[in-house]
Order: sequence, then C-alpha cells, then structure tokens
Amino acid sequence: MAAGFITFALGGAVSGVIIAWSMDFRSRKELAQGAVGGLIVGLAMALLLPM
Amino acid sequence: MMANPIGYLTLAIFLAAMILTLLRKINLPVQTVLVLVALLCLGIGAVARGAAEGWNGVLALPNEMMGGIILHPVTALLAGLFMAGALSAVGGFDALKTLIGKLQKTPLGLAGTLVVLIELPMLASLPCGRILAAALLPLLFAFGSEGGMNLLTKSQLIVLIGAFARNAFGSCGPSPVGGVGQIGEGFLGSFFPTAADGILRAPQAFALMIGTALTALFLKLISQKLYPNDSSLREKRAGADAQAPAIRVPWTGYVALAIFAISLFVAIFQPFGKWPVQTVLVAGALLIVLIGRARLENLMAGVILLPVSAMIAGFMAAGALAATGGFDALGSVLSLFAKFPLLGVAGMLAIFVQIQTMIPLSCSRILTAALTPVLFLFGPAKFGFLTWEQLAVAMAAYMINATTSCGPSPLGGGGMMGEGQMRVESGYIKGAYTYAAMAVMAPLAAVYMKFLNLAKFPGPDVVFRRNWPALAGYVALVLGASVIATQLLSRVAAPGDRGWRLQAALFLGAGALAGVVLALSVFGFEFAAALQGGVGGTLAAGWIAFMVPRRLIPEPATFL
Repeated sequence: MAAGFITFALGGAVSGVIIAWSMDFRSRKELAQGAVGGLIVGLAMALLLPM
Repeated sequence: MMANPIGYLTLAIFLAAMILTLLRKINLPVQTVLVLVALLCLGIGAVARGAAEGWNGVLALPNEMMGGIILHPVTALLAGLFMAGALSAVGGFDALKTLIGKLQKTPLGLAGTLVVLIELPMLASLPCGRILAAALLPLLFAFGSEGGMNLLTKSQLIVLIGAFARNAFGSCGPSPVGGVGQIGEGFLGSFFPTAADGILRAPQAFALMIGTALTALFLKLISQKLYPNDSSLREKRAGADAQAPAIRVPWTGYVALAIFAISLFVAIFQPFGKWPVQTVLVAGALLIVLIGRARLENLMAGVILLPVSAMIAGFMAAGALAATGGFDALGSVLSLFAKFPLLGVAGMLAIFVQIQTMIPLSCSRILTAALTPVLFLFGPAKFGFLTWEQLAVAMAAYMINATTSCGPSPLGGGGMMGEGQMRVESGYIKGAYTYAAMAVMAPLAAVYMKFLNLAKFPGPDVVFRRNWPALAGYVALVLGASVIATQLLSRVAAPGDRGWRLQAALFLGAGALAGVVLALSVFGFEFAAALQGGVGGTLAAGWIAFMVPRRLIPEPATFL
C-alpha cells in the first residue's frame, strides 16, 4: 500500500514541476508550489485507487 | 490457424470504413458508419450462413451479435452523465470554479493551483472527459487577456488549456463509474478474481498524470515553435491589473458538490457493502435534484449522448464482427505478423497497443469495445501468445493508449474542444497528444502494472511480487529520455517541412523506446523480444508521426 502512495506522490510532484516549468513559472518558489500542487494531486488520486 | 473467409471480408470492411472515415473520405458521423458496417457485416454473414447452415444459422446471427454487448459500462456511463447533469443544473460546477479561485490565494499560489486544475479531471473520475471539459474550459480561457482575468500570457494559456484537455480526454480510462478501462477489467476477470475492483485503474492514472506533464512540455517547447502564429489568442495586457471572476454560487452548488464527492467515495470504497455503481450515482443525482430543485431541461443539458452512442455503436460493430468471424480473422492476421521474424509477438504487441492512437476516433469506446476481445484472445483463452500476467501488462498499456485517443481525433474528438478555446486550427495539439500517449503513457502503464499493481491483484494460486526499484528505473528512463529529447528538439524546431521531419524523427526514436520498454515489461530481459518490440514501436510511431499535420490549414466546410 505504501509503495503505491509513494509512487503517486513522487510522480505527482515531478509532473507538477514539469507543468509549472512549462507554464513559464521558473522561480524556485513557483516550482515548489507546482511540486506541492502535484503532490496533492498524486496523494488524492492514490486515495481514490484500490491500493 | 485459418479463419473463416467471411471473417476476412467483414474485417476488411470494418477497417476500410474506419480509415476512410478518419481520412474524411466518408463524411458521416462515425456512429452512423459503425451501424452501417454492422448491418452490412450481418447481411454478408447471413448470406454465408444461409448457404452453409440454412435458416437456423441465419436466425442465430443477431443473437450472437447482441451477446457481445456488455451493458455494465453503458449503464454506468449513463448514470455518470446523469450525475454530471444534476451537478451542472444546480450550480455544482460554479461552486468548483469558486473553490479554485480561493485555492489560488493559499500558499499553493497560482502555479500550484494551475497544476491541481490541470489534473482535476483525473481526480474527478467522471466517465467522459467532455463533462468537466465543457464546464471548465471557459474558466481556463478566462485566465487570459480576452477572458477578463489577464493573469496568464498567451503561451501559458495554450499550455494550460492543452494540458487540461489532455488530462480530461484520458480521465475516462481510470474512471470507476463507467470508465473505458472497465471493458478490459471485465475480460481480465476471467483469471484475476478481484479485477473488477479496478485492476487497470492505477496504471492508467499514473501514466495519465505523468503524460499530462509531458504534454504540457511538448506544447511549450515544440508545438508553439512548429505553429508559432496559429493561435489568435491575445497576449497579456501589460500594466493591466488581474481581475478575479465574479461568480454567484447558490448554496445548493456547494451541497451538490459535497454529495457528488460522497457518492464517488461510496461508489469506489463500498463502505456499506457491495452496491452497483449505477445505484449509488443515480441515488446521489436524485438527491441533488431534490435539494437543488433542478428543472428537467437543465438536467438533460448536462447529458452528453456522444460517448453513449459511440459505445453502443462500437459494441454493435464488435458484435457483428464477432458473429461473422472478423475477430478470428484479425487474430489470424496478427498471428502472421507475430511469425515475421523482425516483429514476433513483441513487435506485434508494440503495434497493437498503439493501434487506437494510429486510428483516433471521436470516442475511444468505439474501437476499445471491438479490439479488447482481440487482445484477450492473444492470452491463454485462445492463441496462447501471452500468459495471464503478460496479458494484464499489455492490457494496461493498450487501455491508456486507447482511452486517450479521442484527444487527437479530427472526427469531433475531445481535443477539438480545447483547440477551440486555444483559438487554433484543428491539429495544433495532435503532436503533443499523440507523442504523450505513445511514448510516455503506454510504457509507463505497462511498467506500473508489471512491477507494482499486479502484486495487489493475485490470480488463483499465483502471487505476484512488486519490484519498486525496477519501476523507478523504467519511469526515470522513459521520463528522462522524453524530457531530454524534447529539450534538444526545441532548439532546432521551426515552422515548415524541416521542423516536421525533425519532429517525426523524435517520434520514431520515442516509439522505438516505448516498444522496447513494453517488450521488457511483458517478456522480461530477452534481447530478441526487446529488438522486436523496438521494430514494432518504430513502425507504429512512423504511422503516428505521419498523421501529425505539417502546417495548420483552416477546415473546409464539408457541405460547400
């Protein structure tokens, strides 16, 4: 169960950084906000999945 | 094994009709084409059966066709659309927009909020991406200059809308409420006792989440350089203040949103025992209707018939093909592919998992209903090319690729809704969407299923082991290669034939890597299989790259 959550959390954070960078958010703070947004998405999705 | 000659004929009719529709040589709605194909195939089958078996054989044909129609995803989709209609009618989507506006003022900031917004369709898990896209695309447009908020530049808005639409038009795959993936889960249930709990959901969701990010990157680095002047969006006004949208949301909107969230929770986690998803959704929707006093016309406005009719037409065509031996013929043709030394089973599979991105129709359910049985037959049920474990891995890759195929479809595909909001000609998003589905999502779904997900779905007397380091390694390989290749290409990408050819080269390399990763996931470390997977992936990528437009041309009116 933990492996699934960790995978989605990491995947979400990485995808959040890539999306934020692609949208021209380039400062550290903005990239961190993107990562946190992605982390929230990843964890929320993991909660909705059969883990 | 040779199939019935009538099967080859009906298969040829089906494929020819689909490709001619895609190339716009047949200007009819794809559902109409499918129903006509089903009737034609049944007619041919009736003549052949009548000659061989008499009236008894002819009368059995319609029953055999109807036997192929699986009602569960159809009714779940209708229930999901009913729920969406109820939400829309009482202001549930307006409440969602207001909450997003408030989220932006938290420490998450604009960047974090936009990331959540882009991936929201996946979280909402609705049975069709068009539902949320129709509700939220106007909101995304409002972030730009013309929309009034003046928060984002033209480039940012293109990425926002494009990536959101990519996520939306793949979110129907992992949806537990009539999602496309449930078609595959039904077949995998023949071996995996708990497959119906959602064996395909996590691999699809993981691949979609990462694939959405790669779509954003591709739109930023490649598409905007290949088609630099093809969006008529206005640039952000310098010096003008950003304005927040003023939406008045009735309290019933927030209640409706809460009921929707609770219904989704109950449908997914079943805390009160086994209830059909349809029952939960219809009960939740009725509650929303009662509380919000929704009017019937508002309720019906939220129901989108395209995915329902597409799924039924797809099942009809699939049933007609099954009844006349068309699937046996397709299996035989692909078996011949598998005997060709350069392709083998691995190469054939690498092509098969990309087949719906190669033939993108307006709704992925059309071909998924027809082709999932074929993939199933590659397993122990008939041809024996794959074990059950290998079939599950291939099914995960196929399903996410299939489910995202309505995005780049020029036949009224979901992506065209995004293109409309981006103020671009049809085809702008095609490169980004097909690249992400082919190069990123399909291999990632396969490795997630192989190294993590199967451990949660044991077969009878078989327990699969998870391999977290292998998963991390493959994800890093696929993601890293895509990011680096996209960055390199962005340095030389430019409008015109040269830029298009360079993009095609990127597709070929990425397709080969996807084929190799798929082969390694399915067959383990076998050099021959990896090579064959690479060849199959390259062939599929060549076809997909060929369908990305070199330049964007305004659509001619079909009736002029």
